[in-house]
Amino acid sequence: MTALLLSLERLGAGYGAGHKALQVVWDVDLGLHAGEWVALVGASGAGKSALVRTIAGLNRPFSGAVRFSGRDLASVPAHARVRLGLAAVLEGRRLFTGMSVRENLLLGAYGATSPEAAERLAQVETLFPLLAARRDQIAGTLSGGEQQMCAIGRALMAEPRLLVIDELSLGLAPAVVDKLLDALIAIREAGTALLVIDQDAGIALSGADRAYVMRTGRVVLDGIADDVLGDPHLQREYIGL
Amino acid sequence: MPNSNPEPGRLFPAVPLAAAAAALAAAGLILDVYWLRILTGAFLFATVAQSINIIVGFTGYPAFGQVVFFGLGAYAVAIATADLSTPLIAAAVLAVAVGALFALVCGPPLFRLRGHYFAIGTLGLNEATKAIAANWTRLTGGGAGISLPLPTGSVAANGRVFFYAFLVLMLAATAAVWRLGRNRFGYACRAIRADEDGAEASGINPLFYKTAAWTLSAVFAALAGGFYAAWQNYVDPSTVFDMDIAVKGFVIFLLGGPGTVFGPVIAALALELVSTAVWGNLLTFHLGAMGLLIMLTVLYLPQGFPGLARRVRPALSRAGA
Repeated sequence: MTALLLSLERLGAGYGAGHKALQVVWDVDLGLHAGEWVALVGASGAGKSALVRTIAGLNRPFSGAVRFSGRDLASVPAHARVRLGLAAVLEGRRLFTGMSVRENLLLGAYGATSPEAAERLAQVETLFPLLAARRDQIAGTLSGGEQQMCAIGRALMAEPRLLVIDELSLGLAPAVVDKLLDALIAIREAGTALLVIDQDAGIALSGADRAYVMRTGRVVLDGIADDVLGDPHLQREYIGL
Repeated sequence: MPNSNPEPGRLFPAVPLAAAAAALAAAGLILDVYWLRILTGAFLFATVAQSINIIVGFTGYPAFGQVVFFGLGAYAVAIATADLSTPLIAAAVLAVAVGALFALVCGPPLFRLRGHYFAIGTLGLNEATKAIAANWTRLTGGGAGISLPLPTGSVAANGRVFFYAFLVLMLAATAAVWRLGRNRFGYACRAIRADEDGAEASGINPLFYKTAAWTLSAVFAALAGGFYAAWQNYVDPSTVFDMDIAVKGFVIFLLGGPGTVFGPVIAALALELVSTAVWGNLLTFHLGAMGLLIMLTVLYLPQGFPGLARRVRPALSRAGA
């Protein structure tokens, strides 16, 4: 067994601080190895996005720890986590809507030198030829699927070791989701680990090695992706398949 | 890094700009004292508007109390020249240092706030600083203010000196804004304006760039205040920390179009000429007219003059066709 790339240790997460704090995630233990594809599924309100924001460093943990490559990230701000190799596509994609596709992508490599950024841009445009075709288009005018490609591309521009994607398929047509999943397979083959979060278990688990299922802020089931998907208890109660 | 297709001001249109700058410079030789003063005021407010443009237009943080740096710069120059007999150039350097330091110190706590809360925070900062200036009598002379040493030359000659000083300052602020539309620093600011969480998740340190942008904007506001003190030979708290200065700067910034390069300059010249022509007769309603102008601008011209031009031009060509 190799050492874990990402580990969440009894992590509590939520929004706000002090007397206005609202905890929505309790005691989550999650581990992900280098190069592994892990899915995290759960219904709306299960606490998935709070968990992602806490992993990315935008929200502070309420309890427990986030470790990346064995290092406790408690004192590492969000922007510095990107440099460590932890990149996240946040819920809602969060593109710079007034800027072009190319500008969005290049901003994803903000810490890199110009030649490095140009090289990564070429790689991302190979992965998503559509982004190359639309490079001068204003990001806010892209379709939903193109925006998701742009958001994933922007995160890849940081050359992460782990790519976390929140709400991969939200609001997207099945054909578009299939394209995105093909791209994720290529990204994983290139050695980047994936943590894919989605409400739709069928989508999140396709391609995944292992999966975690959350309900109302806690992990209620985890295991090999196929076992999780085949679990009748899960199908009936948590995913509604 | 990103350098193609910057949204504001693509190529620096060198020839028409040089011509405009030369025309303004030549105007300084021809105009009488009255018109020199009007234009000097326009340059002053264009500089304040560019200062606001850097933090509000590019970075997206509504710093309404930007006049605090104007006041600090004015007091730095007043105290340095009146009490310490420092030459004006050295006093201007002091104004820059005071403004920049103040932004660096106050930035990190204030930038914990966003949106309206940040705007109110900067208002509070200005009121607090004004109160300190009014009560720290030993340093500032309190409410009585400070009179600066009178210049030796003729009124016309001095008017000319300040005309050119403010012209150069306005051009420097505009050049800084133009650079911001094209360089890495400006991209980081615009990313923060577009989506701060998205920017941070892309590896951009928001606090660093917000504070840096505010410091840059503070330097120009402080210099404008410092030049103003030397120009008017007098400062007191209610004049140089006057919210009217910030409000007028904001009107010009909005009219000029947030995040544009030359908009604030054009708007400052237009507004100053219009207000000279019309509002000289509306002294009591001056602020009311200003407020009305802000509301009309935000409602009907959210992109300022440039937005109006973009809308009118196709309409005109349709009408012509």
